[in-house]
Amino acid sequence: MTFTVGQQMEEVQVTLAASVVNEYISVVDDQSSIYAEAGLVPMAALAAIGLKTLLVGLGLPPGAIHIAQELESHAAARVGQSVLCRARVAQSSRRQQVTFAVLEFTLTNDKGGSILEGRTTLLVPEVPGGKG
Amino acid sequence: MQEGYALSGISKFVTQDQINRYAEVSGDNNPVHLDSGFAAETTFGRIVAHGMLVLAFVSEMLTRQFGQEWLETGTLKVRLKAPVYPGDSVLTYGVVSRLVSESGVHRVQCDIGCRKADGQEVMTGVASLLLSGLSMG
Repeated sequence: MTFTVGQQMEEVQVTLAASVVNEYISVVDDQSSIYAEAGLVPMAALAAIGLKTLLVGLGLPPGAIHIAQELESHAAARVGQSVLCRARVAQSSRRQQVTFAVLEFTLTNDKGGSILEGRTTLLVPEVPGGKG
Repeated sequence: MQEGYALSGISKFVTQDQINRYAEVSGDNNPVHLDSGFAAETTFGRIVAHGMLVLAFVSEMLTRQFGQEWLETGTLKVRLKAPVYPGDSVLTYGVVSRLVSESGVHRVQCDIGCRKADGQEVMTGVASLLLSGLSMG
């Protein structure tokens, strides 16, 4: 797969609905009390939303492997809030039969304020799954 | 809190059902997480958990330790070192590696990660955040 550096994914507006946030918290078995007490959204849930914007935008091939992740939080997000996700290809390089891609995403609030920035490094084997 | 302070680790047992549900809620339906036939042909040899699921465990540890200040000011940089398979038990860990205080605000840096029950590292990295106080969360 070839990544075009600078390629921007389509922006996605996501409402952090209580049902979705609660399902996420249940799935990852997060026992932190702060979410129920303060109506906040886990940072990793926001990162998953950002990553989904990348996955959908790029149409990654099966077998792509996530090898590194960076996150930088600027504000807590609240249940019911709307966030805008933007994502782009930041770097791409190819070694032998493997492509390394660095992808960036940002989540902002409805006033344009930054909530979370993420930087994801993926390894994409030419042969799906990497064998052969 | 001071340098060398160890965060309370969190233990998790990863199941295929959890991986299936994570795929659904995250939208990450890569067959390496869901299709045993496909996964068998990859370098992993079998189904692996999402790296972001493991990252969620580490972030939970930091949230339980630092509360809302982690959610508001936290940064994290991790590498995924080894796959986590359905049926694996993992334990997160964190140690305060640097603490700098200035004008009543404390920048805390922690070496963080997650390892399997046999000690194999599956995720390692660094997290940092700003704290207004140094009482334990």
